[in-house]
Amino acid sequence: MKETILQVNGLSTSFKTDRGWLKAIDGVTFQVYRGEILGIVGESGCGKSVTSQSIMRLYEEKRVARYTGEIILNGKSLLSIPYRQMQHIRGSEISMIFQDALSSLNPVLKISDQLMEPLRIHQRLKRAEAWQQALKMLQLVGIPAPEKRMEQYPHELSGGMRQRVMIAIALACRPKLLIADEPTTALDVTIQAQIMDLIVDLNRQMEMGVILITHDLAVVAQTCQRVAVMYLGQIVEEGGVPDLFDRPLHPYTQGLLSSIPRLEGDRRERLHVISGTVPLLHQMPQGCRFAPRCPYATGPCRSAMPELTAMENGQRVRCWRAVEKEASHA
Amino acid sequence: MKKYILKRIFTLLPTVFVVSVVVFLLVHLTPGDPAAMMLGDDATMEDIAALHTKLGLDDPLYIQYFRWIGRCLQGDFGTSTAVIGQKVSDMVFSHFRPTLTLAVYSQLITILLAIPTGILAARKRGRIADFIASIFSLLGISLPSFMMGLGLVLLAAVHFRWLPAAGYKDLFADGLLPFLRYMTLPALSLGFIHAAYMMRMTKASMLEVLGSDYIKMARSKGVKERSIVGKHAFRNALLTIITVVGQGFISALAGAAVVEKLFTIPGIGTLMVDSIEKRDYQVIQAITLLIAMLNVVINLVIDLIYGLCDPRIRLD
Amino acid sequence: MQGHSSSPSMSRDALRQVRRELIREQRMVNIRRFLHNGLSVVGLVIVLLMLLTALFAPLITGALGVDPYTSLGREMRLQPPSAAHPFGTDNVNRDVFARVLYGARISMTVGFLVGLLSALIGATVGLYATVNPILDNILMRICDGLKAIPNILLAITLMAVLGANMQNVIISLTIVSIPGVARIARSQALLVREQTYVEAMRAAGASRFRILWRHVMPNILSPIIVQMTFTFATAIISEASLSFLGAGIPIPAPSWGGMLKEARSYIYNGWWLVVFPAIFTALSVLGFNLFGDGLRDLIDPLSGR
Repeated sequence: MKETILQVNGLSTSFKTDRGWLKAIDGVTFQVYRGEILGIVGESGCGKSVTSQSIMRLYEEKRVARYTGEIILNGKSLLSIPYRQMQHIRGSEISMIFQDALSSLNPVLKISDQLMEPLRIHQRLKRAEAWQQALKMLQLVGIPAPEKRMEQYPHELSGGMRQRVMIAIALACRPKLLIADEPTTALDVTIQAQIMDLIVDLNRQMEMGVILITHDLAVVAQTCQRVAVMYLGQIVEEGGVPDLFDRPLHPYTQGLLSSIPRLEGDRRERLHVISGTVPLLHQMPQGCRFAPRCPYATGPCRSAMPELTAMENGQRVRCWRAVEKEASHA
Repeated sequence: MKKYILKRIFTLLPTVFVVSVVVFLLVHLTPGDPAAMMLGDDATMEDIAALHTKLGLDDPLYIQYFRWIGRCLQGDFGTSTAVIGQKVSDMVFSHFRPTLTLAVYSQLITILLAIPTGILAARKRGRIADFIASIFSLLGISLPSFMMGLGLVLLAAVHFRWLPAAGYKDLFADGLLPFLRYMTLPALSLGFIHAAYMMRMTKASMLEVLGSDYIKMARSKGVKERSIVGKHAFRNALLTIITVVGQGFISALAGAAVVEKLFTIPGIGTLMVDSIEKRDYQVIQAITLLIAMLNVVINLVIDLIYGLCDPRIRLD
Repeated sequence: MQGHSSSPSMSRDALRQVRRELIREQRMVNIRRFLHNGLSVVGLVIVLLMLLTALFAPLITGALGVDPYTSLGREMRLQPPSAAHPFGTDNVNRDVFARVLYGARISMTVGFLVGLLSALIGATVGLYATVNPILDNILMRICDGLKAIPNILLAITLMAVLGANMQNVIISLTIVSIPGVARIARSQALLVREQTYVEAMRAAGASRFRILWRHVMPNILSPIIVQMTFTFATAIISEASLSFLGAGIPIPAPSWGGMLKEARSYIYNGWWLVVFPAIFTALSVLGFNLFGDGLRDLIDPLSGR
């Protein structure tokens, strides 16, 4: 049995707006096992980033954001501990890397300051020890001449180098879970591949769980063991990468997959585009959230919300049609 | 570093030149004949003409300018036309200490008042602290310093009789406590407008910084809230705040005229206003030039501090 | 250029019609937003009240049977506010209410003329600066130089040289305000010049000055008008400061700053001499600032937030 590192149960995050509290994500449930990479995919605004930042409790609580549900990290319920205690968990047990390393590194602090900070906070290392440890981390993420880099400022490094530094910062305290929020979107293609290789490599070496948030299904296919597809704040389908890519059950997933350009496919076939636009948060459809854009939607789809239902092979899907089909097969 | 400073100084030269020309022309175009004024009503035409030649007033304008600016550069601002034989430089420097101590004191109050409230307003956006801060800054932009001063005098001196309504005690000659007793009201009235502005700028830059990605990153590293505001955010916001502090110092020096007159403090502001009545243009010229140059120098210093604080600005 | 065929010009007219409609609609939205923004409305109300006060000061004081210059007699010296003299009387037995109302005339006149003149001259300077790089350099260096001398100091120096009277106050404050307007006009004009239709005009052979006045000028008008309201506010403060120092409008004219200068000596036995002119000054400055903020939001909704 695989060891579960993170269990998220029915997590909802609401934000305060002019029109009252609006749920940005609604009942998100998934788990991450030790040593695996879970991909979370979806269009922008689907709640991928909200999910990841909610796990870290990064939003200002009470006045800005409200969480319900359960987040269990290594048996510890993160939503029931006081907010102040999250400081001890962030950066030591869960870490996060962001899209744009240039804006995510503090422009006025040296690399060494930013890299030593988590070590000094969480492991209470003395300056000299932290320095040595930081150097090791820079070597680990493949930065040449680390002594020189330590004395530099973020703007003096190249884009790929900055992303490596950010990964080094995130992994400095050897967290059990790493959340990578679109870690390669801001980089050019060759560097993208290098950074993804580095993440996969470190994931194996350190045996940590990784949540990879991306809109790029190709990246998911290459790196992840499992994938969850999000649409409008809900997980609509989840399963092992080979299963889900071979046999996508949800029409939305099908649409996403057929919109990837394929080299081997018929070139004359036009790329599939999912029609319609994403509805706004405050005008959610009553039934299935995908119904307004779904080519197969019928009456029941528009009136009742389907639940995330497990299929025989362990794949889970939130779709009336898929559930019915499975039932008729059995 | 040296190259950077030289480059900055070089770009300032045109400004310095224009300032000096403006100040020179201003006083030169004054109606009335300085020679005739210096000699009084009994002077004959010959006397005046002789003095003209002696002072070089018949030379072309640009020669007079270069003669004047050459003397200024040596610290010689001429002699007073009102107090016979008195050197202008002596007059200005003997009045400089009250103005300078007052400006520094008012800036200290401003900084202590504005930066913490600005940070608080940014952190507690939309709450009472923010609301009070907004009212405070609204008042600040609408009240001229002397009106603020009159209000403070009415309240603290006339009504409650806490502090004296006017007068001057020197920080070095009379000691700290008398200085504080006499100079707190002037310093408050001088600093209030700028405190409002500084608070708004602090709030705005803190808000911008607190919303940035690197603050989110710092938080995700487990950095304590106090250290996020104090180390990660404030250092970045400081870049804006330094500029505002510099401007504040200049506006305190410039605004001194009004506040010094109100509280009868013998600084350069008072000297300048008194010189208007006495038509002592040399003094007015010297003070204007001096403060304008101080302004240029302070802006240069701010630029340099900026360069030191922000690693993104290349110093070489 | 013109009259090649009828259809393009027709569609151009139609386009113009649509554009006009859109602008009108946008304007309604803007006005609604302006009104929603409570503080701007407060500003507008204060501005209107001050302008009306200035306009009707003689009528109001005439109806009450007081005027700002006449002594009411020895026994009326330094009387606190009463029904007959709502703002009290001053050290030379004059009605303070009448003086404060007449003070509005001075402040509004100074503010308006300084705002208008500095806008006209500053906009002209800023516009012509964009025509020729050498001229631009010279004009902007002069502006830098003028700006290096703190405003109030430059104003005091100018007043010292020119002599204290109302006309010179207006001249001095206008000179002080020009560099700011010129900078705004210049940067706006540069932005407008980048736009395609100006390029097209140039390609079509329109003369530089025609382009400048007919096409660039109207487009920089809004920021200049916004700046005018702020200049208005600053001019009120500066005039009051100058008069307070005795370098502005000479007594016995009832300028607010001058009244405060007098009041300084009676601060222990005549609080009303300080309070009323001070409130009027602060209120008008506040009004013009708030109004200016509202106008700026209206013209450029993105600038303030």
